[in-house]
Amino acid sequence: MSEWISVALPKGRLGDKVYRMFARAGYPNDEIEKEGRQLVFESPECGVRYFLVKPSDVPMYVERGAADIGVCGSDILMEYEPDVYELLDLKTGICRMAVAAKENFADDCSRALKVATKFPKTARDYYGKKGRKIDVIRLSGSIELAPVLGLSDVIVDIVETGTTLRENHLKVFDTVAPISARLIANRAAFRFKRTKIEELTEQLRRQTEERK
Amino acid sequence: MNRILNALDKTERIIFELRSLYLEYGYQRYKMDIFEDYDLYGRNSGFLVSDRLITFTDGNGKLKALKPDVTLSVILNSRDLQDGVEKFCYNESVYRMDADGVFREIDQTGIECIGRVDEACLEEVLTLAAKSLQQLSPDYVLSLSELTILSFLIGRASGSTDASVKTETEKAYLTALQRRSRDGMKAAAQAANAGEKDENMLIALIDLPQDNEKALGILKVLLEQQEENGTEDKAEALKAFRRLEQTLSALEKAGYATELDFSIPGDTRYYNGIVFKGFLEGVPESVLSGGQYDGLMRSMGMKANAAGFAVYLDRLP
Repeated sequence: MSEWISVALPKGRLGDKVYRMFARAGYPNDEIEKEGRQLVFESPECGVRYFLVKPSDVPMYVERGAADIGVCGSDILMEYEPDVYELLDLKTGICRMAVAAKENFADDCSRALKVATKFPKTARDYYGKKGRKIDVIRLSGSIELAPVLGLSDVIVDIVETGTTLRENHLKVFDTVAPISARLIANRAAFRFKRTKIEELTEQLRRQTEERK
Repeated sequence: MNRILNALDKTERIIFELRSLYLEYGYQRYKMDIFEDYDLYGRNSGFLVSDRLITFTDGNGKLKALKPDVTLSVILNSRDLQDGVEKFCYNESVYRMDADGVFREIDQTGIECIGRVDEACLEEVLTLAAKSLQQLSPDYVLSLSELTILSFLIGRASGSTDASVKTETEKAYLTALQRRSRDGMKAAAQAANAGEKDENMLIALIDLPQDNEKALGILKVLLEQQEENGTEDKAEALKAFRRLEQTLSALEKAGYATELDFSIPGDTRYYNGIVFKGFLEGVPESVLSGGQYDGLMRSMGMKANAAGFAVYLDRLP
């Protein structure tokens, strides 16, 4: 059986934080933190191969077996529902999925609520449970602009500090779900590389417990 | 003969190898040479991998479906034997919608046993599942779950006497178990006000080791820890445990790679007892899936029991 384990990490700030957890767990790579365009990093001494991919693509890499394990936000798991194992809440990248609107917003229940979002399934599920009819406006960035320009009544989006919302005179009206980074695993790879994946998971779990 | 064998592509070769294996064990070939009524699939849509079907109207004005599944057709054409068992093997193209909304033709092969499915019959089905995997790759594992035991333990930890709350709690437990999410299980147990003992039991189900002897040892303790409450469910679960123990031991003695794994899903409306999936190293999803499906037989008005599996040839590398 293969001794290598491949890990899909999200590019960007979350990926940097998570990589440092992997390094502390005993799976370092000297090259990964250097600035550059390299996307694959191998550490033969600990049998780990890191891939840096777009955060929303991590579940696809893992579900399709291109990576054995990976790290992505629970927002991505909630939206795409990939068929993967969700081994650990890494308790980092903490934020929330929230409903926000202009400060003076009042819901007009006589018509469908216009919701701008990057997460259409999450928005539909949330309002579906409330029995509220919605019109989803799917955007891929600058979601906060939608209510300001009258494109939507509300937005469903990730809120970390709330600074962008405040600067655009928006406020949070409800929390859809708390969000954090999760360690995920391919269902088949987990079976054939279980000892190594569980050792790594245990090391990461210890770090999350130390932070409590 | 060699000339013919050389002309086969990899999938065709696998189909013939598996068919000859099933024929050696006395399975008769089932050919789906007519299209079943749409209604057959519509009434049992929960059993299907996808409920999106290709439909058409035949010359008699009847609404038909283009083969989304083979099992339902085999059941419909079986004799519903109470004494004795009919053993079928098949290789068919089925038509299913993929995640991108595109209908695809998928090669599927498998077996179905319909009639008096006793322990020996079930063991034969599992042996053939393991042998099928072995023919596909030396690096395989057959993962088994047991739904009587699982339903009993999950039910005991769900606490509430309100049926709808109990159902929601059990659903949350099963979701966490199928995702192997300890954090999800803890959250679900805490939301249901389950005690520490129940929470630990649920986590232990996720953490069962791959070694069958150790896993069975832990499972036995979890079952024995449950209190008698005047119902028959504990006795039923222990009986299922003994059957599982015997089955796993027989498969292990025969040298097959098996593991006990409660993350294997099984819809209890259709399946009961042992459900299983087969995996090959290097293939990202299961290539074989099956189990005992007496529930489906009842929902189709049949008295016989049934078990079988399908091999998904489109998932092979």
